[in-house]
Amino acid sequence: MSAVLFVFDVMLLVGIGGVAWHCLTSTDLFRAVVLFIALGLLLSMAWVRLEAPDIALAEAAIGAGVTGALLLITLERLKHLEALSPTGRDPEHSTGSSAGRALLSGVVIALVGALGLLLIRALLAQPGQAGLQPLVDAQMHRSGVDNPVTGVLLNFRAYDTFLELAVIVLALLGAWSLGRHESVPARPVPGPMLPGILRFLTPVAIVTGVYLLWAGTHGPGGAFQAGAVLAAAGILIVLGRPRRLPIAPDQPLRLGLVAGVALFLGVGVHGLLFGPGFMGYVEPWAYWLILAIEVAATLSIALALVALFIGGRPHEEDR
Amino acid sequence: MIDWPGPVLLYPFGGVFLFALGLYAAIVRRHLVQKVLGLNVMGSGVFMVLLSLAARGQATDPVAQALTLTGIVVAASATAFALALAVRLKRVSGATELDAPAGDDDDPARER
Amino acid sequence: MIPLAATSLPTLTAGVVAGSLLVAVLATAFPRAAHRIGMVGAVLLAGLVAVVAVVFAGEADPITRIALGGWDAPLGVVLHLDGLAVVMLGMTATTALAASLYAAGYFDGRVARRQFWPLWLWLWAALNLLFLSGDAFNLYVTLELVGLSAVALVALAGSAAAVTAAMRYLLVSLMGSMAYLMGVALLYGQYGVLDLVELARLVAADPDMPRATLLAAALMTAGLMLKGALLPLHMWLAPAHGAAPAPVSAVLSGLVVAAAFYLILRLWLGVFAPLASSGIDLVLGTLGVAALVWGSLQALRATRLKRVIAYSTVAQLGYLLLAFPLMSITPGAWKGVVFLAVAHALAKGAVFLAAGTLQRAAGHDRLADLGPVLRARGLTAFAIGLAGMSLVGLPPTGGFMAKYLLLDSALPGVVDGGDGAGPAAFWAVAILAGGLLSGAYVLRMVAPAFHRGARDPGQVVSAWMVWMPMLLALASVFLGVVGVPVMTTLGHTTGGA
Repeated sequence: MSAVLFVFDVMLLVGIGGVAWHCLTSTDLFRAVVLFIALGLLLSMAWVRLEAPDIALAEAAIGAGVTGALLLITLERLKHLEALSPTGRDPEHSTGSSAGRALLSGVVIALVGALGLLLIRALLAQPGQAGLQPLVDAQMHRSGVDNPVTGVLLNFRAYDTFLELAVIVLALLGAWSLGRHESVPARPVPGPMLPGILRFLTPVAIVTGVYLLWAGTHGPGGAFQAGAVLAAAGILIVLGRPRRLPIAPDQPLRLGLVAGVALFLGVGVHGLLFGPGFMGYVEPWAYWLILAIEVAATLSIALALVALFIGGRPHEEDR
Repeated sequence: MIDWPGPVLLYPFGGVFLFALGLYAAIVRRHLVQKVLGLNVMGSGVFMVLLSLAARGQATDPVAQALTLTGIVVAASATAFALALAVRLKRVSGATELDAPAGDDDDPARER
Repeated sequence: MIPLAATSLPTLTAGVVAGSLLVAVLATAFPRAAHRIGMVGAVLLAGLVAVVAVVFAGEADPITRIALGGWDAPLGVVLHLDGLAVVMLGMTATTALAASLYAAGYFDGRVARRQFWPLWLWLWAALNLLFLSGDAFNLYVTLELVGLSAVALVALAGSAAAVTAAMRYLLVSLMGSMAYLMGVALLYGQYGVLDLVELARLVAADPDMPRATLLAAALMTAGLMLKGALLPLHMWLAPAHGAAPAPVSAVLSGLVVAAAFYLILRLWLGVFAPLASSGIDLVLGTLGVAALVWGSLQALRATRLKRVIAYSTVAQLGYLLLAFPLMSITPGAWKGVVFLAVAHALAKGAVFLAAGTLQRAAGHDRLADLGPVLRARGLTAFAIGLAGMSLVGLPPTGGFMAKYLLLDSALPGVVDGGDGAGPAAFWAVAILAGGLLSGAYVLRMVAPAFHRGARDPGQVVSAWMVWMPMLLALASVFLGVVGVPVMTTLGHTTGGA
């Protein structure tokens, strides 16, 4: 079997390298974005080969899916703005190069190539194995969950995950601070196929998201993957009715967005007062606290990602 | 269980290639969306290096997996914000590329 | 009564973390009340940090490590409170408090306030978390928090210049983050731990120096230099300052770039300490001198006040790079550099806030035409002058004390003679020359106040905007007086001599 796997690995890596190359050297932005999404799916397969199924799910959902959707809607908005006030620069094609650019390219290629070689030499000289896995395995029985990745994310290194949730909220706050929502004129939805597919896919996405959330405690899955899949469902709804955006009431939306961070902080302080320390869990309740935090986090992540897709802040924010 | 040590030997090369390629694109390509794509590919390169180093053991190191997951989410959030900023830039100045930093004579910041 | 038992430091530190985050989360959840939450939170947070500093100074063995969640390193993430962290927290609290109160007067529009305060409080929280973190990967996440909030705040001004500068800053920042993260990956692959103290121990115990460690040092330092606008990777700083709102510029120049430098110092005092060699020191030192000279010359040429101050930041950051060559002469030299960073944060903050007041009053910041406003607003002009004294290094300000400490570190190299005398003399001359150059551009800023001419106070500005620059300027002078306790606190630092 190993010969087959060897060929598979080589082909996958060549594919990844090739797709990445064409994506980043393309002059047509739409093509670049599509290739980027394809790259995300190929990377997902690479993570499977590296025995990291949680990461494969995350890459497919977040790296390829949500990021891809955001890239496509950004291109759409740039084209719309260009049409409103033409500057003569085509938003879908980047400008060509000149002699100065060629020199810069050459210098950067040399530097980057040297860096790459240094990295390869450093990596080939790495020792056989080092890592924290033995420590994780030794403590897993106290973590409250069965999936070691979830154990690390939501117990041993919960602080990192907490800050990660803060990053998502902060990205949304930043995007909202830039301006109010301006709707892009909706393109007519072609034929009966698309609404039908959307109507079918949305419930499937919701069920898959909820399953991923629950499954995360004892198998691949978790709050981030679930949140991204639910966000995909939300994006499908938004795409299906572009003229009538689902508008959430102002204050409940804000509360939903901070729910993940707030609950995490609350449990953290609870751990400081009654448990093993700040950001810790009272041990018998670890499973339930983790599940509660994951539910709140999934809600916040899904809301934030859909809000990032919709774009500017809702008009009620300014009243 | 990984049958043969291939992933550990092969994938670091892929990671380094992605990192280098992404860095090149982020510096040289002019369009903002292309720069953002380059930065994302750089990130994917780092994750591939991290995970292939993690795969040396019996099962892939869970801490490295957790780090990668955090990294993917953080990179995606930063990308989302960068794209929103790019749209804002287009709206405010009509530009989708960054020119060399202006000298002293760019228009003074308007007071809000 | 504040309990002074030894157990209170871990609780107080956790309180700083939880408190900063709580204030930010509340402001996010309730944007309509965000400015009130922000002002009250700023005062409470600054007070809490002051308590931490006092308790820390009173302890015999004050270095505190908090294993978050009860999981000790290397499995869990550990918060690390030592002298350097306390000084950084104090610097942040003072500057951010003044800037917060200033911002209460600066942002008076309903919409602007709701957008500003949550982002601002997240930035302050992220800075606090960064200074307390003792884990290499956790630092990456806090760096991203700092970067995203800072970029969003720069873009808040809304003009084309601001958004362009913000975009450039974001791209540079993300590139730096990726380089840093690759370094973390290399270190984890090599040593299998992420805790900074553990890593330092393992690197020091390693008989040979693995390529991965060398490359990680290079990547992480380069990435942080990008984030800290240290020459030659400084191009994003001046446009960002010129366009950002005044309180944002104050914090960006004083705190955000200082945070990047803090991290470089932390890494080189701890994990990469065995790698320090005279080659790297000389390179970094030369870059520092180049920054000093180039930044000062640009400050002398610029026509707009905020640009002058921005280039002054590039120049003063050059002093920070001098830490490395000076450390090879006197191991404790880094303390003088940290002192300089603190003095710079306070003084630069004061100058930027005052510039914001002048700009709001006059409607522009062209140096040539600011005369009337400067003459009418004596308090603001005095604040710039006082803070300028610190930037130049006149006694009894904090800047003077810092330069004195730096010269004190360089002189043993000159006195001892031998090979090291030449470079040591070069650094000493550079430190002194930098002071002269600063004097020149500070004079440029305040000179019109002394000329005869028309007086025109311009637009009415809030009282906060008049008094906060003065407060920070006084703080920068006061720093010189409290220098000894600060240096003693710095003495309790992991890895420092």
